[in-house]
Amino acid sequence: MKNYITIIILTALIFSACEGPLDVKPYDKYEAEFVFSVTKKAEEYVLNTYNVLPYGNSNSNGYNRLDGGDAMIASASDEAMPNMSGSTVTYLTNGSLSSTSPNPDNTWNHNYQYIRAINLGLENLDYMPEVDQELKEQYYGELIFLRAFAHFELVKRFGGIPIVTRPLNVQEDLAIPRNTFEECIDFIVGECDLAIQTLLAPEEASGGSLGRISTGAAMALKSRVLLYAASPLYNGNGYDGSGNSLICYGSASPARWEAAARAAADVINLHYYELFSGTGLTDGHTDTQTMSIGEKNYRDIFYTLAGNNELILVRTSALSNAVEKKNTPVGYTNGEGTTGPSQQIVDAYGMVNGKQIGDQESGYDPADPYTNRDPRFYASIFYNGMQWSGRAVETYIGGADNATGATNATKTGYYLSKFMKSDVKIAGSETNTYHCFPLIRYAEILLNYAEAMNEAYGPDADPEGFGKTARNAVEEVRARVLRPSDAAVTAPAGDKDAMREAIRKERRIELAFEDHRHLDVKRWMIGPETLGQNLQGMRITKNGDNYSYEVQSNVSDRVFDTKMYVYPIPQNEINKNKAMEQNPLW
Amino acid sequence: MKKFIILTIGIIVLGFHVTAQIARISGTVTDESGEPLPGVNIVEKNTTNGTVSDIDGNYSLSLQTPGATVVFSFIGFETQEIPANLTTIDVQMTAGSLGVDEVVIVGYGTQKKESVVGSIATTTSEELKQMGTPNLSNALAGRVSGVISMVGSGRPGGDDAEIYVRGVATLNSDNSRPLILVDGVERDFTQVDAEDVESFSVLKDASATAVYGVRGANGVILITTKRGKVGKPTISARYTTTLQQPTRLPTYLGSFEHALLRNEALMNDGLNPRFTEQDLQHFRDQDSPYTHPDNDYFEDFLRKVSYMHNMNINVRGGSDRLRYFVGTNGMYQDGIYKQFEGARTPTNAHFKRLNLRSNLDFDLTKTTTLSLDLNSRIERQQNISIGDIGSTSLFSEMNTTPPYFYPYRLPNGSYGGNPDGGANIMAILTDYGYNQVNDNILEGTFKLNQKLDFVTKGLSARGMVSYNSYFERGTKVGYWPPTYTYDPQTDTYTEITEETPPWISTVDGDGHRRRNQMEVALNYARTFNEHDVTGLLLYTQTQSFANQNVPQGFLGYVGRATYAYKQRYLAEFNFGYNGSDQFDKANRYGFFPSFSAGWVITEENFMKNIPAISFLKIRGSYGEVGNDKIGSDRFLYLQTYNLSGNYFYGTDQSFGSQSALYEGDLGNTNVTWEVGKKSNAGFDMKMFDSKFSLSLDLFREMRVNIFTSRNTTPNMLGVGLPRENIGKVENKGFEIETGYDNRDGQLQYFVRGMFSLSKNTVVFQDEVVPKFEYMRRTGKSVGQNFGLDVVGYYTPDDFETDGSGNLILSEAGNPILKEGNAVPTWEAVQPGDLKYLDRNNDGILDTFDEGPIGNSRIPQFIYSISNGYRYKGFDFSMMWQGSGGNHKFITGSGAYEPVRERNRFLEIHKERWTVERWQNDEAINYPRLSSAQNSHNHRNNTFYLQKGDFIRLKNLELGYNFPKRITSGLGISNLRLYAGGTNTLTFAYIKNFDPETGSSSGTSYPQMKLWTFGVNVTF
Repeated sequence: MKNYITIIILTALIFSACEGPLDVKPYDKYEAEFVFSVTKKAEEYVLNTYNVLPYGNSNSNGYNRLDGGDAMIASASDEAMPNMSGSTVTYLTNGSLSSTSPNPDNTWNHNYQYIRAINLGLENLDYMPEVDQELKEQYYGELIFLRAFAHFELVKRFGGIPIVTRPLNVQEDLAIPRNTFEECIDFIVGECDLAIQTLLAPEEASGGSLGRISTGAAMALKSRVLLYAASPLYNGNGYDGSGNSLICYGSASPARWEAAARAAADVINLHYYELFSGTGLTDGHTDTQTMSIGEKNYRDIFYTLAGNNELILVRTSALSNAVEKKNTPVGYTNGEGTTGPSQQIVDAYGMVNGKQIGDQESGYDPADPYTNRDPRFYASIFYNGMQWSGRAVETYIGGADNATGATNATKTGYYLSKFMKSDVKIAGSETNTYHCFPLIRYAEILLNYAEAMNEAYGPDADPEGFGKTARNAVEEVRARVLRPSDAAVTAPAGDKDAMREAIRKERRIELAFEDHRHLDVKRWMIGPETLGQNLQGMRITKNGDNYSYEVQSNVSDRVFDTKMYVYPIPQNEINKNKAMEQNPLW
Repeated sequence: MKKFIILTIGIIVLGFHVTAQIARISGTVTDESGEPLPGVNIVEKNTTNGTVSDIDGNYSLSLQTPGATVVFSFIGFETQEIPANLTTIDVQMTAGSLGVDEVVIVGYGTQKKESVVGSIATTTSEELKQMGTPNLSNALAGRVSGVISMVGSGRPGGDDAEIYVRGVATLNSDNSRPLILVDGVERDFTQVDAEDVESFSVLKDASATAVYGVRGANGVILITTKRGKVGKPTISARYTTTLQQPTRLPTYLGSFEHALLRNEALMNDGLNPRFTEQDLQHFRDQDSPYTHPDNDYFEDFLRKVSYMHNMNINVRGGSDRLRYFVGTNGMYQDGIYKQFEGARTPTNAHFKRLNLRSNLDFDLTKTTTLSLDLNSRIERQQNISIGDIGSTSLFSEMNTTPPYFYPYRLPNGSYGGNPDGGANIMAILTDYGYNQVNDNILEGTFKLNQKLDFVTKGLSARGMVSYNSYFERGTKVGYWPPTYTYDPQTDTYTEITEETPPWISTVDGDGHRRRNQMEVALNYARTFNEHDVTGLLLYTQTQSFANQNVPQGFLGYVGRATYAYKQRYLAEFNFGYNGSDQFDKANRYGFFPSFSAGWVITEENFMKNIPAISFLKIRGSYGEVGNDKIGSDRFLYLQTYNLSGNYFYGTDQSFGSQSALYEGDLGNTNVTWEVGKKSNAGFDMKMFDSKFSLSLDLFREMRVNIFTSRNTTPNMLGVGLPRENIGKVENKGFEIETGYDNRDGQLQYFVRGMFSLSKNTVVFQDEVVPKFEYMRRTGKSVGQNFGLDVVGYYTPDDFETDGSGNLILSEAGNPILKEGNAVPTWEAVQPGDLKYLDRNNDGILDTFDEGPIGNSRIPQFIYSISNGYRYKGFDFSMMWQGSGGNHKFITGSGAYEPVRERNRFLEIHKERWTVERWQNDEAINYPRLSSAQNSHNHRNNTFYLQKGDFIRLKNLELGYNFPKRITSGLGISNLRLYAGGTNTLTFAYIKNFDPETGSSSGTSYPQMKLWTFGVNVTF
């Protein structure tokens, strides 16, 4: 009997076993259909694709920070050098870049990763509930815009790249060839036009929605893309003269400048955007007494979020003092001083009277170089003697911010102060601030307009009746920081070349350190005289209470080779994709 | 559930009807020298009726069946079977040959050693105990052939070894660990006390592991704990105390030499010296301890010796109804940090363990046995309060803080600091507090075994329910005192770091883990004349829970059939049929069969004429086994969307965490297990009265379906690729074990040796065709090291010089290499830098010149030689163990000169390249010193790659057993005193650290050598 009981028990155990311990599902993971059928989840999905917009390794650092978040792409141009020893950014400037060496600005994977995410989003938006039709359309516009943006991020680095408009399947033949440069531009511009139809209006993408993409952003991207396309690097036979359709149009056409001018004019004539010039003591700013209105107007652009109608496309950051820490000179506790602005960029800043420092009448004194400069200089550069956080900045040899052997000590005599809020504490009881990093701001549009108008019609003509000439646009930018009388551009009437020079100089300082310069000099095809020049610095020696200034002709070796107008396609992509073609000369 | 309890009680009650006894025998048991032998098991054959001999060797036993055969057995002696045809039976036991165990633990059962055809290695509790280490995983090295064990750290409670069976046969070494079962259940075995271990088996070939199916491919380790035996209670107590010392510590230079070399390094890079003449003078004279200290951290902060105490008491015995093994084990292991007067809290590392074990077997009826095993354990680990419990911060501070960095204490009693960072080590060990992690472990098993002879003879069934429960939580207490610098001239203090007030927090640790396992089986064993047949059918399922995670499930069906003819021809078939929730429904179940056969040649008549060979068996097996350890992400077959990070928009506080959702790696519904196709051939031989033994195993495994990523898909795809079952690795090698045991006469001795070699080759991985053939990783071993080949140092002869022999400098201030030298691309070189082989002869030194250098990290061969003697009451044994065929990069603070203000100079840096040393033909063993991370020299290259080969005196033991005539007067049946050493001598290529170190910069808690003193008493 008892044996049977045992058997029964054992059998019972067997049956209790068959409940299937294998049948489990994760509670915290979703499938595509579920994601998109819940509006909240669809929004989260779309928001993730916003991360395609460039930023460093953390959303608090701003811009296209490379090298683990320390170096800026500005350090790969004639604007600056990295202060960290062994920074990988130097691969871009010392001639060691190749298709197989690591490219610190290789955004290939980043952009294609998000292009896929966007394509997948576009494919699944239809799962969204009917009632949220309006949101669905907004998300559609945003995804289309971001896809265009990502493609342009690739085009401006690599030339024509494969346009991908659907999620690729791992099983399919992924030997996808590059599209021509022209096809890429046409695609991006077409997508911008498409996005404009469903995006939020500029005024809707403000306040609580600041940072969302608006029709203005799509129009502004179009302006930038068309300006690039009209530029010498592309509007002709290419950097190698071959006319290779992957890197250029193959022939020059002035009509491209006209298209660029019109695109910029469209943004201007929305009459929504304006140059930010916050007056009064908003934002708890404490340094106003020591700061000119021009300097304050300019500095405030980068941490004023409310009522800042200069922002067209922007990434905002959480409360943080990361930017302040990264940039504060190394003599201050927690100051990392990662970027050393060059003497070249310092010299590009004019005087407060609007004249260039080389101008006899400018009043520039090489023995006292930091007096009476353009207010933007004071809002962008830490220089020797500048008052900051309770003491004067000391970048003279042996000074607190340039001690022998100190980590990240400047080699140029300068540190970067743009984007920083001066009352933020980075040591002791630290404080934080909001930041915003404009990816496109109105000043750029004005300068895009000025450049395209000047090339298309000369400095003083407005045949299409857009409302302003090239000269007007540049002066508008200058008037924010200079007295009206000093804001005038001195180029003679009708002198296209002189005006071109003035526009380029203005663009250089107005948009300094905002990820423009390294690409601007390439599209203007002035690599040898900019990127190819060794970086200059200032050697400052303290003698008693006086300083002597000596320009150092080479603080960082620079190499420029014709092929460097574009990046090489990563060799890995060529190895893995038989249809992928390398850029000429690489 | 209620019914179940009633039934169980019913069974117990019913079982207490006992049959009457019929006859009775008695007598005395002695050993060969006529000394009475207590504790001998005396059992009526084929029953559980038995007793044990008492202290005088006397016994008496009532028999159930008159005239039945009585079995006399005792560990270390030949078992005797004597028919009870006299009422007085005196027995003289003869010593059996050492190491011959009658029975071997195999998967889900046991087998007679003679009939085993799989490749199974075993070791004994005695050998494991000898190692003196509290961690069982550390006791394996050299004991079992085919097992590689590497101990990376000696931290109390954090000294688990990395274990591999027959090397590595898959591409990811995390997935190549063996399955380890304690009493048939997957459990943490490292803290099982060696005293409690009954047997230790390592299953190596497919024949032995196929029953574990999808989890068996990396080999299986089976540990069983002791169980009760019929007889009077045997009380065994053991106490050991152990002295611990680091096996090796690096030797760093003092302040004066440090300052000299640092200045040299800075000047090499065109920078100003950091230390003035005056600084150097202070360092030399050691006359200004507050501004120019010369600290020796190892000396000041590490103990010369730290202690460990280990105690085990257990009782083993049984009556005709109940057999028991109950015991307790307590262990305390101290760390090596010094403690200082006035410390706020104890900060030294330590590990405490208290273990209670109770293994009970009840015979409910003649045919029903119920077993209940309960094991509970509490553990506490303590370490410094910085970082997690495994923190090596203290060692990295000691390894990276220059000797002059700060004085420990300033005149006013506050702590010294340095603006360049780092924590004051004195403060860490005095005021910083501690991090404690507590573990509670409860393991329980309920087993029921029912003989079903009434159905058919030889049939039985059993069931098992088991659970493990682990809980881990801890406490961290912290306080960071302020640090200052002190200027004796002005008597002023400058604050360097602010004070952080005291705090206390909870350490989550592993949290809660639980595993439930259930098993039912049918067993069959019967002999028909000359045919021995056994069979097994088994179902098992497991569910594991870990904190909030979805439970993980596994189930399997197991079968085995064995057949033996005349004990001569052996054949075996095993299979596992398993399901794992790692895989999609369609691919969830796998079938893993194995076949094996053996031939015991010595059973043949023609062999009887060769008396020298007492035993010879040849055996072979082939089978397939799986591996479902395919990484931590469990739902690889599902395409999922994951929440992560967030995006910020909006103008003010209203923004913040807008969560963002993204597409996870692509799902791969075809995900399945790896399959190891294993073949094994070997023989076991004994000669000269079984004194000489020799075993050899040859094995080959082709591991297919290895779970790995494709590398040939363009990144343009834009999403993480699913991993796929595409890799292929071949692993082959051999194991040889031999020994000579002489147990005759007064002087007994043994010599044993073992050697295992395994070598793997990547047969396929989806690799982009590299630009140069030597860059290809396919065809090389798993984990093959790659790097540059150092051919020497640049000398001034390699550079352009002017007329007076000075180097010409380029515009940027760098020396110019002469034409014909390959151009380095990482940074400008100067004389004294490492010169690399331009492997592709393109005139450029870049990453294309990196080729295979050395071997991989995991040893290819391991070996051991042991030797022992016994004379009268004395015994002595030692074991040398070694491994090799591997290479490790020793980099970072373990090898480089200081590459920033923090970091230290090693002895070898004195033998750096300088132009003077070069001109004087002095020994040069290090490149010129750099002041910062030198991206040319500090690369993976042959200079920093070191041979991992070592041999060490793993174990040494001297013991004395007091004669029975002395001890028996005290009521003690055995009294033993012993002293031993572990890791006491080491010879290795890696000089600065223990050769087994897990950290490439050597900053782990050092591995320890142990001196153990113990006493063992048995009542």
